[in-house]
Amino acid sequence: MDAAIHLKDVTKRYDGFTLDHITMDIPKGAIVGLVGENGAGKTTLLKAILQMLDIEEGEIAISGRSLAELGSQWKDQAGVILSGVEFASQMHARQLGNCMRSIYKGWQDEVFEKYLRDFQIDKKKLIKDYSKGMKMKLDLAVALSHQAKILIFDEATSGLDPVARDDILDILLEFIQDEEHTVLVSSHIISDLEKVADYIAFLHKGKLKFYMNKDELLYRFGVVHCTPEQYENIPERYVEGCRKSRFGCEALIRDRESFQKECPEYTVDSPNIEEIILFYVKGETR
Amino acid sequence: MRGLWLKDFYSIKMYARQYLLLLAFFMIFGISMGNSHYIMWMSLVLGLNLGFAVFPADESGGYGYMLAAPVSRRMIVQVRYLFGLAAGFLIFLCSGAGEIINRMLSQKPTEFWLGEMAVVLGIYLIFVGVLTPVSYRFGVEKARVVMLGLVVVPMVIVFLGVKLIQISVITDALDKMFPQTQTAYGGTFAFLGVGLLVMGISYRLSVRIFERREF
Repeated sequence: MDAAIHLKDVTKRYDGFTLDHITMDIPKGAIVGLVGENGAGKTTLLKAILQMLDIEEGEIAISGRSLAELGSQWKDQAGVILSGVEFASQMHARQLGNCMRSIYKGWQDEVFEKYLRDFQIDKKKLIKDYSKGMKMKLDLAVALSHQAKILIFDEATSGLDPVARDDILDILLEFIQDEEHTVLVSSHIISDLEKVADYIAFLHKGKLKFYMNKDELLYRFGVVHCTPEQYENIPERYVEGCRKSRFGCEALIRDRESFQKECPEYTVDSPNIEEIILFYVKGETR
Repeated sequence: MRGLWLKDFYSIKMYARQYLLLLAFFMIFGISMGNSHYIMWMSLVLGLNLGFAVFPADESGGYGYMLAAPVSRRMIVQVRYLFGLAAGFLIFLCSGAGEIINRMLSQKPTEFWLGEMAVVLGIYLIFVGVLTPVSYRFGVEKARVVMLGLVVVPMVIVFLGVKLIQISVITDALDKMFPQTQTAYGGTFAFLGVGLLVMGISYRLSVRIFERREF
């Protein structure tokens, strides 16, 4: 499968933090969820892709062409939502549409108007008077109104009510139907990503801990609930992390299928992605 | 580029009424005093406010939004400078209108008003030329402090100088140095040329600063 976005050894250093040699390919026609705790490097990675900051090492390519070669024009095909940025809050939605029409070659007024109606956005109200959720919906309307091939969303569903979040997730699923469109979305709401993502990339303290097909991730890992003594008997090569409490131990098992063959006496439950991530972040290793 | 122009226009439109009222007030006040100098210099202050009114919105998230769009960093800087030049042109128009009205109403037409206008525009261009790269490098708030410095320091120097030296000594010396001759008149336009040169250097500096800035 072609890579819509190719990242190889992408590195960015700050005082006290390093985005450390991130390598992954975002395939065309897929939704890739980028997860990680606050400060993990998700926004830094997205900004590096969007050329808002320079990387110190590595390469980034869009549809096989490096960013240096592409300049800024490739973003005509990218719909972007970034947290903490806004165009000009002194405008209203219609004026924003007028600006975007001149910026994006593929701008479609009728699509923008449709999304404004669907999201019930007041066209005459100033953007600075919108609620957080309304601003997000307006950004989404803009991102979807210029025939973008790639959507890059940073916390696009945060601040939205569950109904609105569900609507957006449906839009994302519809967006990738033709397998020529790609979505890279970062979110804290992992349950949203679990619904729609094809791949999950987990960043922790600037490092890419795993990047896997979602179904494979959920199939590969398992959680064992046991006593501390039973935990000590689990072969170390299967333990990704452990959380101990006064009620017992929970161990995250990698390669569940092999573990179940080797240690059939243990009951292995299916985790969700949030649990897997919590084990990585808070779990102990031997 | 048109989209970025529209953005600035819509941002300023909110304050257009206040700017127009202030301008009208300055013009009426200046004409009633028979003093077009007042109109010119207050137009300069308004023009500077207008030219920098859009910076805070850009600083607080606008740049990030623009850079996520198919807009080059060079184009963002270009639009900022063109906007600054447009505000300067507005000064010229308003001051010129005030002067023409003043000449029509006054018994004593002001001489060398074009020369003074050239000086005002030159000062405006120098201000914009210094403050814009400072804004890109250090942010709008620090640029405002620099702007205050550019205004206050010369004022203090002149004020202290006037206190220390007899005023007639200064005015006699200035009359000898700058007689109202064609040479002096041409010199005012040379000052405008200096302003344009500063803008040119400033633009190249701003492009370099902005291209390296991270968001």
